[in-house]
Amino acid sequence: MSNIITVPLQKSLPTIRPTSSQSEWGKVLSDFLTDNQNEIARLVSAFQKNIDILEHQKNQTSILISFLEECGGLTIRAKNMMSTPEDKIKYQKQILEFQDWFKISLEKLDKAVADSEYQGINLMNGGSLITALDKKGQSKLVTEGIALTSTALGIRQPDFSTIFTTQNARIDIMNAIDMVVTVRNIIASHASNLQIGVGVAAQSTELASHAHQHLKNTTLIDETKSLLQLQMKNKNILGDDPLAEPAQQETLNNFASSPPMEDI
Amino acid sequence: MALIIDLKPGEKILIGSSVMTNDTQRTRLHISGDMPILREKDIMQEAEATSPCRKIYFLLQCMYLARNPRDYHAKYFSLMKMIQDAAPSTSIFCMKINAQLIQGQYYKALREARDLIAHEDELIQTASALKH
Repeated sequence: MSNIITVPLQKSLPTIRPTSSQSEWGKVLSDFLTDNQNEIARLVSAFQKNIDILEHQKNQTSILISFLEECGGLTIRAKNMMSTPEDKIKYQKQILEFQDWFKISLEKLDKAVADSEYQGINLMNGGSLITALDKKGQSKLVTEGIALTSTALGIRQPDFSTIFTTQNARIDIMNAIDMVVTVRNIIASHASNLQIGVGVAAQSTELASHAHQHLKNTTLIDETKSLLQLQMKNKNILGDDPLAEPAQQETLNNFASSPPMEDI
Repeated sequence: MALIIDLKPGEKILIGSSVMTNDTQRTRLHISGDMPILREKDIMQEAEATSPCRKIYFLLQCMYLARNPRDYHAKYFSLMKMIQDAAPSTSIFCMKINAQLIQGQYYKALREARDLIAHEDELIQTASALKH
């Protein structure tokens, strides 16, 4: 009589029976919470390891971008020295130096790509990182890397002999930067998703620990009484402000006010 | 893998922040991508969040629609704690919802929240029946 067996609870915990004693009932619920807490702890540990890898790889993309920006700057400086045929002759030596520096920066880029491996993962070289999101690994977050070497990025050998070929080098660099920025954004977004997961996990574990303390003494009567009390103050349960933030409220308002078919 | 949704005539669906309204015939949509998708029957307006557990559903729905779900975490966990304190048996559902949130599966979390609402409704109905 005092046990709380609702249809959804029975569905979630099939081993629980209306005839179960209070202690059996409490144990089933408590075991469920403990198993889930342990599972969350395992997930969080894996998440944290992969967040560490993703943060490292994100930093590596910034290093690659800095080398590419260096190359981009050299193309601009070379181009500025070719504005007239006289300038081109006058600054020929510097222009060739810029071309050499451009090559050196690409070599640094390729070396940084090769050196980006961290804990066996190198997303800069086309590797991937898999984060299991559940214990069976059915749900997973796959962070796919892309090869970011100068060749893979399609950067041609620099030729600063004319404005046109120098401009081509600049275009190659701009396209390469776009590619690396895209990879960085993907990595950052996946790291952020995992960080949200870790945050939820921490609060969820805290809630579960709190629940453990109350489970044993709970009865149907107590629960409904407290739930009804909570419902009584329902309107201002979380203060006077609306629950939805303006952006989500606007989306819901648009949904509610979108016209019925006959009005279209 | 694309999501297949059958829409009834005149049925509305929310995709991202856009509302699509079906014409006068049944339609099948194949949708791929990461945008939040909610059918008319899944959408709850704030005025309909008339109980603590319905408010949880509403907050989860907002998280699903939000660019930054963390904006709702404080309200969500605070309310979840109040509900758990009042009715510790709800902790099972809280755990199941949170397991989906950890994975970033907001739609599945909403499905779990429906069980929480059903549990709340049944508890209150049982109490009313006992009174009479």
